[in-house]
Amino acid sequence: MATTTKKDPVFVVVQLSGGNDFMNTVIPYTNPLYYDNRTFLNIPEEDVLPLDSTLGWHPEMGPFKELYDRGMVAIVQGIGYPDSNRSHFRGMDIWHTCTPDEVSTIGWLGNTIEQLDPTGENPLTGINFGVGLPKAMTKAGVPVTSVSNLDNYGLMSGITAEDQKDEALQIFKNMYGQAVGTGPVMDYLSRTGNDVLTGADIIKVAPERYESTVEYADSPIGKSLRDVARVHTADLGTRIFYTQQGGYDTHANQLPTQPGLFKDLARAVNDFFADLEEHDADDNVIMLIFSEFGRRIADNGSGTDHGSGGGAFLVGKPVDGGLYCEYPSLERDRWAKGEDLEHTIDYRGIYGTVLEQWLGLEAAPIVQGTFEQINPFKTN
Amino acid sequence: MGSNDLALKAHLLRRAGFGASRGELEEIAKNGYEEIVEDLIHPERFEDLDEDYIRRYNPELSYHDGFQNHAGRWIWRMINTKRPLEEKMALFWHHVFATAYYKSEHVPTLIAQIETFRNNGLSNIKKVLNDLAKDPAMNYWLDNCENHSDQPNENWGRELLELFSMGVGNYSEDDIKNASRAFTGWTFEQPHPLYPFGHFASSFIFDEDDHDGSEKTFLGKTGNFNGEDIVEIICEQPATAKFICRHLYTFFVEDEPQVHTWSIEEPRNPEAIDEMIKVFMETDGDIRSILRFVFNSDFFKDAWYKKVKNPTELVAGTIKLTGMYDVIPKEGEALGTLYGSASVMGQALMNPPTVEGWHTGSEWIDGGTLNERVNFAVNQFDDVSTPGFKDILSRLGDQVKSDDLVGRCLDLIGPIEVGNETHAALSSYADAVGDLDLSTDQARTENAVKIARMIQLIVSTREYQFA
Amino acid sequence: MALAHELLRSGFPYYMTLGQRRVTSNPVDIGFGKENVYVLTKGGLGTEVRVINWEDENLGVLGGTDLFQWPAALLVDSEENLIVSDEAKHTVVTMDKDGNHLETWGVKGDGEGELDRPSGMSFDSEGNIVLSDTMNNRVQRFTRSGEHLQTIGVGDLDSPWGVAVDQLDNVYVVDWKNDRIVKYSRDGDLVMTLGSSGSGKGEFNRPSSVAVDNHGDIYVCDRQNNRVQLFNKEGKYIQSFHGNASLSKSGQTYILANAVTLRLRAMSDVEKTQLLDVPMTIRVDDDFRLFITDFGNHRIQIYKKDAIELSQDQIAPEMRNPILFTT
Repeated sequence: MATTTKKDPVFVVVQLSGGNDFMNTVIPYTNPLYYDNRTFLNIPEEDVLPLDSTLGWHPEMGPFKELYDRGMVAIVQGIGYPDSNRSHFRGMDIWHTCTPDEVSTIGWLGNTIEQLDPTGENPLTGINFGVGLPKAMTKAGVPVTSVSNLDNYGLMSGITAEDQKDEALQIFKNMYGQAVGTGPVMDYLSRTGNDVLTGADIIKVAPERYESTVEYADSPIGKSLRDVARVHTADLGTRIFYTQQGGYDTHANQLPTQPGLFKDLARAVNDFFADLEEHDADDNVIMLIFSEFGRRIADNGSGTDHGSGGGAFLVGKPVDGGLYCEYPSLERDRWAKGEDLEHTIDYRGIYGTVLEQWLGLEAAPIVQGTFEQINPFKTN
Repeated sequence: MGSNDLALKAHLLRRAGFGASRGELEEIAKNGYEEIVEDLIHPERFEDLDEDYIRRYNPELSYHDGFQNHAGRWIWRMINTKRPLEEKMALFWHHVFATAYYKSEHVPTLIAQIETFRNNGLSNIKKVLNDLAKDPAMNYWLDNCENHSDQPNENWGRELLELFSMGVGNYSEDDIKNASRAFTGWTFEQPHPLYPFGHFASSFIFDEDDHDGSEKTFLGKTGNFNGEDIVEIICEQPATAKFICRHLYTFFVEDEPQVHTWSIEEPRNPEAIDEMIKVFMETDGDIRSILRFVFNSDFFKDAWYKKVKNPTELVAGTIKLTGMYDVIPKEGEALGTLYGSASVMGQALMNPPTVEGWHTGSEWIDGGTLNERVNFAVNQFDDVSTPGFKDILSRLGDQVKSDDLVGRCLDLIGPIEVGNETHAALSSYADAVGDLDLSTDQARTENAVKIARMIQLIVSTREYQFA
Repeated sequence: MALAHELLRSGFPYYMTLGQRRVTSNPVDIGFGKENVYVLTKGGLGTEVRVINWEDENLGVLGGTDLFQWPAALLVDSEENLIVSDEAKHTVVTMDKDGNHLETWGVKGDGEGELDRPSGMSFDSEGNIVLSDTMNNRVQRFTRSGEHLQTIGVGDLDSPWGVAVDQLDNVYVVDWKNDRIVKYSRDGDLVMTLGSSGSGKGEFNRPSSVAVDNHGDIYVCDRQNNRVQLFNKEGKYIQSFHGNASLSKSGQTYILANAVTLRLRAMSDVEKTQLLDVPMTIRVDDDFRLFITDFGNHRIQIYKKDAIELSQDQIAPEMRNPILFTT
């Protein structure tokens, strides 16, 4: 529909909540130290899906490996930051705000969205799929949209009969019509109510317009990424998508838990890129998959506990696949806090990489400093 | 607006509590206004809640992680308590002394802190601040456990003055340093960690060996001050009186500018604040006395539509109208849902964004949160079998004339008043449905949905967003 | 089988602790197979049946919220089928030991055989199920397949919870809101009541569960007093269990893998960690072991009775008054 010659770059974030165990995601399967420390929770060498002679994928990451083998996955090894905070909430906060030393209420993507759409013209520039807006996307005055159910988004969504819902929305519109002189807060409510109506009208076209032969595997992350695809292919000007998959806090029962999570994740990501390819909509999309921290080097007999350094992935057609940065050392004298993987690249450098090399924005004001970047994109 | 007695009492119950169902309102309204105020400020006159059933059916309340369930229990208490101001004061102090889960992830101390606010909320400022200074959740939140005699940490000392009592501009950096030294050695007992058996409680410890007992000068006074002495001096300051009174005013009467601007923004109603300060100084900061004065004042009685409901008020107040989340929980009802509803509207109880608490007033509202507020309220009236809706239906009698429908419904869920545009839009719906027969079971069943839709529209209004 | 005339009560020492958070999270009841231990859990960390063994190894989960929403009690029969009562769906669900669903019965209502929040369960000597029908304030006896046999306790009870059946088929009911235990004969006649409100000996604060062992000793889970009380068959108070847990095997392994946890444990008060925190259900077995689901602490505390059975000729006859002079 749009007549632009060059498509704007789009950035999708997938947050793995709970702290993913990177050591059992990309596994140092030939390193004896791995088996020494993971006496209980190791993936036997014969089950690992090798990606080279020292590292291999978790057996349930097959569909992800397929993307890797096609050169679409950059593995960012050892991502983290100094003196990692092991609290989920605070740890996630730090990733969301780029301020490890102080609590902030401004998200890095909130800042990014503001840069991409300074006047806040399009409330769909940034969209979160899930319940409640992640802090990463919040900034006072920057409109972003949070969608828990794309097929039924907007006001009065609880009213199921379509005609009755339309009737209720019409009355709502009248009630929120500009009232003269009833005070600034009433006026503000009117404006906001009308903005919400407009946003819902725009986003409604996405499910209406979408057709695909790709059948996503039935999982929450699959559903979320399908929603991302539906909105992206509808060309509504969305530049930042955010969604998450929970359940990575595997203190116990990691052996039965993690494979299920990986199975859902790997399938969903694979389906998503297949879907974009089918719509010829994959040239301008990259995805970052991250988690708030890695887990402890030694297992605890059932699971692993909150750690420091972990790993992240950049995925997409424009990505120059391969291994980036250094896998954290398993040698005991190089453990962070005496028990964790030490980070080898600061996450703010990866954000900076995406901001500058992908979105074309100046990174320093957003990530609050200058950090080492990588070069994970194909050069044309 | 004070002309309608019942409406005025409903206003009082929304502000001093979380609103009331019609039945509850009529029961309370048998008393005169001033008597209701006395009942509100004396919660001990009423039985505490029976928590047996929610503790039986929500076992999450019996282990101390998952703060969301405990925050949900708090909202459940707001809905069911006969002592609404007790819970409202706990919420008030939680706004002022905002302590979040995300730093400690230690739920027993967070629960204990709210319980402290519940118990001392209506006492006096000195007790409130002393209890706060000894509260393990606050102690850890603001790093006083790292405030050592040989290595002071000023975080607590600073925020005590800036955010919890006096406000910026009323003390020096030296005062902060000296106050902090007075709180050295105020720490807490190490609780056993979360694994393998869950969280355990903690309690305040005064470690004399880690306390700097030497001389300090604070706000012009000199002595070998301990923490209690600092609180004592703080409570004598007019700045403290003004700061706490502004907090009470913005929470109970009218949205003030955001707290961080108070050093440059004067109160919206300086006369009211001055009168409150007078009561504060006369009673040594007795919260109960100040609130008695506020609730009986004309500025309070006239303060309609001057305060945006915080999400907790919206959730608790709406549920009170439906009769759900009762003393005996309905099958499958989960308390965490109550927390979640307020959380997506921007108020995650027990997990405020920063030590500065929530930005209130119109800042509660943006596109996303308005969407959540409206949909939440609408969804509560989707079910025509809730006890609250059935009660409303029965009060409408055998028939409702189309012309009366808006007025009757506004009356029954408030009474609230709405502006002309709103009224016109609601009336257009009433016109469309016509006169409603409620005289037979069949007619009631048929027309219940139409009444419910009218209520759904009312709880979607701009006016409903105000406390 | 006749009950022993009297007991020389040598003691009732702590035996062992099983489970930990995230494995036996929020346990509400416990049952035993030939080799496995089945722990029914209810709450935010998992509503399911956790299977462990006596080595405290985690063997996975059975059931889940598709089968039951507010599970209250668990019975394991001789074929190792698992029976769970559900207070949200008003049903009793049976599955086999692999978690395959076999049967569900129960309809909400207040008629005969209908249920309103079925909670405590116990087998009688014939393998029928005695079931606490909480909101109907009664106890009902059903066959395994849900056929109504008997109604007990009408008019006596307020929101009953746990139930137990002794060797002689007497039925013991936790009269929850009345803070007492009510004992009925097989035919449903009231035989005895035990306890009153409070926190002293023989007093209860919203008790949740009752068990009776093969000596006729009565155990009451005094939930909101965080203890279990033991009474003899006549209802005389014997002793209380406040908790004496040590680390479970899995807990030890966990802590040993965590340097900071090790340090914090070294800094903290260990006594607190031994105590019961809102115990939910108690069960006793034929070896006189007492199992307490220590709900708030995500574990099972086990005690074992050490007692010698006495015949009538071994012990002096009962005395009417106490004496000070003893040799």
